Amino acid sequence: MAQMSVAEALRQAIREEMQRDPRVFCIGEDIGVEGGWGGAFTVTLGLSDEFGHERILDTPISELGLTGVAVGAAMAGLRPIADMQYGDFLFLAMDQLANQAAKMAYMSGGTVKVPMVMRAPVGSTRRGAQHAQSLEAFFTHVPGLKVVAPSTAYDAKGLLKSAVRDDNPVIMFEHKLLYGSKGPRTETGAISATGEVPEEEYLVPIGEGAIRREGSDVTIVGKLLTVYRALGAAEQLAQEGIEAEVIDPRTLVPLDRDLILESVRKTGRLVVVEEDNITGGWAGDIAAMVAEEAFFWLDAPIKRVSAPDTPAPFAPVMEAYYVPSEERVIRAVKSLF
Amino acid sequence: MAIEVLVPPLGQTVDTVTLVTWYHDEGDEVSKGSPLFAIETDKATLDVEAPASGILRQLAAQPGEEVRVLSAVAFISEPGETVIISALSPDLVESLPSDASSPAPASQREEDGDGKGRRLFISPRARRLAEGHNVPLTALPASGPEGAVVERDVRAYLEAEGAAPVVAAGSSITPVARRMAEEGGLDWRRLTGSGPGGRVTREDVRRALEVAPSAGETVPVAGEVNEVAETVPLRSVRAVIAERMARSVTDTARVTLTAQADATALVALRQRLAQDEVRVSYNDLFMYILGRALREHPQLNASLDEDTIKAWRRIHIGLAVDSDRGLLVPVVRDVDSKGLSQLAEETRAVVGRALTGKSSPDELTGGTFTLTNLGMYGIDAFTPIINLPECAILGVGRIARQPVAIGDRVVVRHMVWLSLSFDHRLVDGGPAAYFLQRVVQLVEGPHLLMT
Repeated sequence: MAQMSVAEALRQAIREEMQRDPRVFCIGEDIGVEGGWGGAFTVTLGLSDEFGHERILDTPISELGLTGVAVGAAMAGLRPIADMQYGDFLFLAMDQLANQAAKMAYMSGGTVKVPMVMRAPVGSTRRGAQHAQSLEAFFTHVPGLKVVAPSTAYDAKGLLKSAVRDDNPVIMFEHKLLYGSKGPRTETGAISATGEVPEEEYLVPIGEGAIRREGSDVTIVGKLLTVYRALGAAEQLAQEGIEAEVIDPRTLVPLDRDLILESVRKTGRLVVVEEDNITGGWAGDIAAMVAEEAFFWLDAPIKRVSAPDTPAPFAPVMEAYYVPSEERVIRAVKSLF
Repeated sequence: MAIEVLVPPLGQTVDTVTLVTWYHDEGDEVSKGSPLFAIETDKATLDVEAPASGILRQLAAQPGEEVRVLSAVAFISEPGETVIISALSPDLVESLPSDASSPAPASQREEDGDGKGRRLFISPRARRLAEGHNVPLTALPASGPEGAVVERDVRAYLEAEGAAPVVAAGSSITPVARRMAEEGGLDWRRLTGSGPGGRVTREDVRRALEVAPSAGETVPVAGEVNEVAETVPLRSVRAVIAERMARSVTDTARVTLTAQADATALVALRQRLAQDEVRVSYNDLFMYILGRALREHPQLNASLDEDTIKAWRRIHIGLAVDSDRGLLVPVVRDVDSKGLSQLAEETRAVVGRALTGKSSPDELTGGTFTLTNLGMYGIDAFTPIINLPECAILGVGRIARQPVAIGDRVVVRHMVWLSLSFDHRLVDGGPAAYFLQRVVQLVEGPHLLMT
């Protein structure tokens, strides 16, 4: 067992998969340049030395192009891990992801597969509105795509390996503040998601969520960074006698609905925390699903703790107001009692 | 604005006096200046005059009671005014008799608005728990967010009542299943539910009732328990029928009027039409007649929606059809605006689709009246169940030759029994009878349809 940060765990996963299967390769901007950081967040650091520039493929600044190449390569039998430098740029690749990758298997009656992975960092980190979005909701809404969002090093490695082996297109969202990179790529305000990561082979199955903390008074569901906000809030709430159960779905599509529903049936209360604008967001979908399936077990309305419907601010003080905080989660939970 | 009736001050040293007697009763009309009650100190007895004219209300002290000087012992209000209890001074509130004529807040709440009471805010989880234990919802305190009754309120109530150990909030029963269980004398809490989350379903109760004796019967000796020959789970159409029939019978105030009509002219009419290559069934003829009669009697073409009676502008009649899947009621729309041939064609089409399972969902809803004919089974009169949300249904029996009296002679005529079930909640016997009378009239004299 080794202590690894999320970035290191992802790197290890890529390395292992590329060693195991010669069809696996990485494609993205600045992921293998000599003397570079190994992508914007150090995930691919050192991999071009090990695997060469044909398998750690640098591209020009062309998100649509690199995604299209990944789609085509996957259709032709390779297993690409595409890298989007910032999640915000995924919009540029939307047609390739939503219209091509997502629909190819369906439209071809299963004869054409697109076994690609697209990795993208999300989260607000004082870089301004166009470098701060959490746009998981755009992709959970596209049938044909699997969407995963690991929040720990253990899950990052296990889920990325599962994603590479999955024959469906998988989008993996990573949070910039959870990478745990050191040195020049240290993020202000980062949270340590470093943890024990087995060196032996293991997988985290896609579609399985995790209960991060058990409780009986309220269920809090979060993703990526907001899992940690929820855990922080839970600790404070415990001092006031409210025991919160914190759920990290890990996979957003296909969602581990039963895990969430079972928890709500136990606690009777639900708060969903997301770093994303509230309207049309992921939390609303979870809330609707629970209201439909577990209405008679609810003792209070379902609350969403989300970012307001504005672009992410640049000023640090405003950004701190924008991103859901522990205090907001605590307030939301208390309003249910 | 109600006027307080105060105990007058009687000198500087007097704090309390004794109320000796009231000269009027609660609810009496009193006039200003007339003696209202008498008080007594250790020195003297004194009459106190009414400070205003009006209705005497809320006598707050009994003869012989000590009352504080300058406290209010009653109110005088204008007729029709309601006096609020909190307006009384705190001194007196404690001394109010427990069966005070003042309305308790709870019942006052019921008189609010249209008499239906305030909306009850209770979480689904709490409601389920309360209903499962027959806890009256209005008796519960509300400690939850937004003033709602929540689970802990119900639990607290149940524990205070010393009830049996509270059933876990996870168990529940569907309303229909609970009714079945209660009717069968079964304690559903002992059942394991097969529904989502352990919910006890119709099927669970039905199975349990099959092996358990219903209340009132003696328990059979071991070895005499009957075996189930065949189980047919309630699914799709059957389940829907079961639910709707049960609901209709419990929700409606069903009355069935029966009348016999001389259908000889109707039979002749149908034969005459057939001779001219116009093929219509008796159902088509009854539909046509109903279209006319309902146009003339719109009260029978209505629905009760909670507390509003909605009289429908258009007449859509459903025809009960026995298909392989069970009872279906395809609907023919705007019956009164169609000629007999058109009706016959449309009825044939919708019935055909119903029998082959090809009805569109629209075809099976939206009816304002239903026609059900059991004549082909040799049935005469029966008590059809109203097809909610309609308010009435006409059952037609067989058309058979019967001996009847015309004048003093006995002749053989084609007679038919008509059974009209109607919902007495919105339709009274008189109007329903008039309607049936008109139907009979049109059956007996179809030429009247020309007028």
